Amino acid sequence: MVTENTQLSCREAARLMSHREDRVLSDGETEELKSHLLICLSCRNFGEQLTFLRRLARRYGTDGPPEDAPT
Amino acid sequence: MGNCKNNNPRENQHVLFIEVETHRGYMLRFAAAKLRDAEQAEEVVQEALLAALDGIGSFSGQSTLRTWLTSILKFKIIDFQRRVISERAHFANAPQQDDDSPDPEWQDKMYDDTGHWQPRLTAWGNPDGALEQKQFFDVFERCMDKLPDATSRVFFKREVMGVETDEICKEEQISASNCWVMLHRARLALRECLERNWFFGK
Ligand SMILES: [Zn+2]
Repeated sequence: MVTENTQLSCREAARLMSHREDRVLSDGETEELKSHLLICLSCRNFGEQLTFLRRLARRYGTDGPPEDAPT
Repeated sequence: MGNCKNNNPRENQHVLFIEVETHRGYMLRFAAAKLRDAEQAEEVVQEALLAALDGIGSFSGQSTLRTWLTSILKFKIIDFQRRVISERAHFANAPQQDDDSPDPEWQDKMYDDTGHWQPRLTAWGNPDGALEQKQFFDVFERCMDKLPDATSRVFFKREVMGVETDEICKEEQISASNCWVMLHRARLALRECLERNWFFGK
């Protein structure tokens, strides 16, 4: 991203997105993250992958893998 | 042992017995996350499986088999922990290694000098479809197994069991910030592993 002085790097944004699942972000953090996500497709993709990872883990702990499809 | 009446419930039971066995790998990981010890985990899972097979008639099918097995396993784990505590009243629990160390090298490599993703992250194709494939779950298990032990346990508790972070910190004897760092590392590593071995690797 070449946007001039975007406060957050992806590295920091990723950290916040992960922490968001485990603790409440401060207002400042939320704002910074929001403005980063507006301009950064990679981080939006990361966010979706995190959500998916969570669903996968929950599914793994409840239903487990689907039955093997009969061949 | 009952007699050999060849009626349907019995056949159903037989199918259930086989099915129960397919959850052993999951149960082992669950127990290891709680007990931190592979051998103890093995022992407890064995007990839980025996209890499950014994009581399989009480499985109503209202929850999934995995959920039902997990609830039995949880009891067995608590039971086991009580026993162990009373057996060795003073078994010192080694404090969990602190994880305030700087980000590991593999993590640095994911970003360029300015802290942006390199390469950029692209969306995964059909993640929902992956959830319908058993092989995908195998990949997921293998990816979890590759995490360092403590990281793997913390991730398992948080995301698979859905335990709150404070409780995990207490059990693991780590600070909240350590816990967040470990969880973040686990997610980054798993994301990468799933991408490499499934979404982009197929
Ligand atoms: Zn970004």
